[in-house]
Amino acid sequence: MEADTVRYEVNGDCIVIYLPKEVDNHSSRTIREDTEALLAEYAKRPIRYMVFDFKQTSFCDSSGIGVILGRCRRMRALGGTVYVSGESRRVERLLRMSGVYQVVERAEKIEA
Amino acid sequence: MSENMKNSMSVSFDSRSGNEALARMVASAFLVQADPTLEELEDIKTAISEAVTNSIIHGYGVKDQECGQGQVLMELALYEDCVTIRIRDEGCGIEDVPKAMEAFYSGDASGERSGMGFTLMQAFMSELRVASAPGEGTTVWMKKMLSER
Repeated sequence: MEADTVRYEVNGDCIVIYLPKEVDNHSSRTIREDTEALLAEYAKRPIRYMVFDFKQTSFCDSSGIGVILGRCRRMRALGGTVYVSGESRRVERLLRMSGVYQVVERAEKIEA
Repeated sequence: MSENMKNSMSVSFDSRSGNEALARMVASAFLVQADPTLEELEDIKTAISEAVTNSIIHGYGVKDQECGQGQVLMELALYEDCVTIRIRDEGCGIEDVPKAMEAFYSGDASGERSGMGFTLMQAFMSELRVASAPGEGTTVWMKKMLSER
């Protein structure tokens, strides 16, 4: 997988978003638009679980936090849940500072 | 120009979101000579990304067409024990700077913004100053102390 591409995987009622190397304002826009398009495309299923996979991510700033919080709001409205997994220590610190762990679940045990 | 300044640089680029990565890369390349720790470098890259993103989305954001596209200026100066960074835009400016700097406050009402930009700059840098007024653009000045290597 190329560092700057975002990969999406839909499995039943679960979508996994494999985040790029750098999650900033620029890549956040793509992630937001693609994810919204997929939620609309699978509206009849519907998708209940959304996983943000940070395994490839070495840089994330507050725009990345924004796109996650925005998706949390969307998923909550749809009765779904958002998970994060694979965060580096740096990303984990950022998510903690921004209160993200108060609204998402950690997905160590989820099979993606 | 301060006497103990070791090196300095400036770069100016279009207010396009793709240039956020450019700003981080240019700053990283310049800072190689200072041999910062990985954590110091990541702190600086994050703070620069926040300031540049603010200039692009708020300073020159689409909500005020007159601001439109513009240039973002980034200056770095390296001293014996610290680096200073200045990010300047000629965009629409900030009406209430203390309000804009509050954690979780965003001038963007879309719900897609965390409102953590200034908070992260403050957390990751040693000093932060913001000068702005409506119609007069915004200048962010930051300083990061570097540990002795």
